[in-house]
Amino acid sequence: MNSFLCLLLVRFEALEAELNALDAATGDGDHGITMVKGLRAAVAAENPAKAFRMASGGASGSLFSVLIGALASVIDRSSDLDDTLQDAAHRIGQLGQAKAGDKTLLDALIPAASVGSNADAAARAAREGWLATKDMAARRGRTKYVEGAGVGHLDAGARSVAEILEAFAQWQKDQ
Amino acid sequence: MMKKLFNSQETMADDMIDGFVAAFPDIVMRGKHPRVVRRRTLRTKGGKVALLIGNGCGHEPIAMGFVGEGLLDANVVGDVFAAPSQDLILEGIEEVTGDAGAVLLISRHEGDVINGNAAALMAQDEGLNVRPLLMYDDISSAPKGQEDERRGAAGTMFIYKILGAAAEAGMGLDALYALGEDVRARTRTLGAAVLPGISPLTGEPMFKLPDDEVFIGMGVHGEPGVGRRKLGPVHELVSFMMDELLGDRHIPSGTTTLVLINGAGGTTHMELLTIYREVVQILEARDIPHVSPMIGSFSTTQETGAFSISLFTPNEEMLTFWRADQTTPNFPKIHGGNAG
Repeated sequence: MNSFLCLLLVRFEALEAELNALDAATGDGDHGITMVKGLRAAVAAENPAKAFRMASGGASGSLFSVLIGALASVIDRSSDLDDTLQDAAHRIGQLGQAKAGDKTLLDALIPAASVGSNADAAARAAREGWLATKDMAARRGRTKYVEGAGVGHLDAGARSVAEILEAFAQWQKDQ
Repeated sequence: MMKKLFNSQETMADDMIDGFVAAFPDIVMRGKHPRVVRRRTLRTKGGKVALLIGNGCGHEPIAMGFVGEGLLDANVVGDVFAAPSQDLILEGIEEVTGDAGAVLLISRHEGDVINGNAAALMAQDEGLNVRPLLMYDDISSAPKGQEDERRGAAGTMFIYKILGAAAEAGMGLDALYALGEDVRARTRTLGAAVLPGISPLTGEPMFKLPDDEVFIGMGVHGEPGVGRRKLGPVHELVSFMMDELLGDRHIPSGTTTLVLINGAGGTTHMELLTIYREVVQILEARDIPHVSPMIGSFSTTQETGAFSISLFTPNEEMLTFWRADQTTPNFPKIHGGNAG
């Protein structure tokens, strides 16, 4: 798990400014900072999901900690990717009271959880799901409160889900 | 380029808390976890219901400035503009909750709700009698009829103060919770912004707005607003906002009303008093009596040039609790507010 977290951290450090800019269009512009802060704490932690959650704070801390915990169980306990992502999407939906089409990270995660257990296919589905958030009107999160509910802007959280699953596919190939 | 005074992004929240607890050592102290700011002398182990809230920082003096006798027992402080984690809020609940239980206040924003509800569940699993109370008042964030979809804004301070005084006076958990719901049902807020604040995280302005326009429905985190108007004389803006507020919740003539004018950090006291003038002229034209206002910059977003108007129609009990003395670093003394 730690080599995966290290890879995630490297990729998110490179992506930090882009995520901040995506978030700034409709929110407070700190999504990249939040993700990097959480991942720095998660690397080498005994419980990476909890360490991520405590360091990140906010809604993203809780919601992304579920996805990180899910991938930890795939990596460390060989859980099935398909089932694990579906379970994570369900839990995130419950926590955030969100569903598909609300312009949230779920719009990348739900498609990824519906393509079987191939990591490449999941990553591709997540990226397509992220791109589809552009035309969506937000019904959750701070974007809901802006002019036009963010229509025309890509969702930052969904971008992060795509990045995490692309990193996971890369990590699997490297093993 | 950002010109702000801090040591580093990593330490800015903790450095501020250091200064706060050093300034008011007779009132507040750090709890077991350094991000829990609590009263020095807790009465919650002696039968008082505990009252606390977790929130992201960057909005001072809310909420750590409201910790003290007659108000909050603790504030759990997250990073800048980020709700504290559920684990951290649980630390705060554990620090202050006694046999009489606790009300965990939650201003309705995504992270606060998710992490606050999760923390309350964890605390209940430990046998602590904690009830999360969602607070919402911003009429621009969801239409009439969907009040429970709205977000928390400055009007939540009515709930802080009234529940704080009621808990101090010995009110039990169930009654306190019901009182909080009743205050919430009687409160409406609408904000407007003219200048963005600078995020201390990114160094960037938190929204963009043409020089001659005003955003209606500013979020407390500097989210861009939901509608714009041309900026004219302030009486026009306030008149528009009061029509929205009174259209959302009608206040019959003769109904005693409390007004809260909150500045977001970059709006001067001079401007806030001018806004108050316009508000009371409109209330008086409708024969609505106004007493005991609160005017100042209490729930802020850095140097954002913005304000909100909150209207609240208390019953007699609520008015007594609103005016009750408290000893906190930053909540203002509430005066009678009528000449008679």
